[in-house]
Amino acid sequence: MENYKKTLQNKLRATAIMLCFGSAVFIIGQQGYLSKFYPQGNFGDFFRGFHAGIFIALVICLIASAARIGAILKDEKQLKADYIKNTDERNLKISELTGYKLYKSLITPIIVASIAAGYFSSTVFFTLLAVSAFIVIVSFTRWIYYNKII
Amino acid sequence: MKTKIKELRKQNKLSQDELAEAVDVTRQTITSLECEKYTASLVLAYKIAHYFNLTIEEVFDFSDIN
Repeated sequence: MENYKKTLQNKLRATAIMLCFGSAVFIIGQQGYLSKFYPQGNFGDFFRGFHAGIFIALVICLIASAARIGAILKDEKQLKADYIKNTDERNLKISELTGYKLYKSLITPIIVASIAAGYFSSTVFFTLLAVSAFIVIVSFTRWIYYNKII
Repeated sequence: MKTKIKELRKQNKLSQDELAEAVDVTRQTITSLECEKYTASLVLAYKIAHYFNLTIEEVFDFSDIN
């Protein structure tokens, strides 16, 4: 349990660092330093909106995650419940069958690649975005399926 | 795999939540074991049997194996 507590503390630190880094990137973007790199026309407007949307979603997720971890660390009962949830053998089996770890490790690089590709080509941007959406849908569907049959 | 978990739980007037907490798994895992949807690992089988002061063979039915 102590090891799990340390893992959660490390997770909280990583979340705070990501939040600071994300905010710094967003502020730099708002100052206009990145505006010359943005594509022109309708796609450019869409791309700016997409960036803002991704950032807002990321910030909300990170704040919610930090609040959840903070609450868990304060309450021993919640800590045990979360530990059980994360180490439960049935949950681990479902994760293994759905390939959750693989999907999780694929989705972040694909989204980052789609954002980077957006500066050069709208086709590549939309293709990678569709791939990431497909991965999320497949992963979620498989999770529902295995959660039902196991 | 057939198990006697449900019977033992009722004999001992235990809820699924209480048993789950005692053996460090989620309630859903106990439900799946009782519904024969999931086969417990050796460690979990030992924990459950030990909790009821029984042997693994007394809780889990291995007659279907082979």
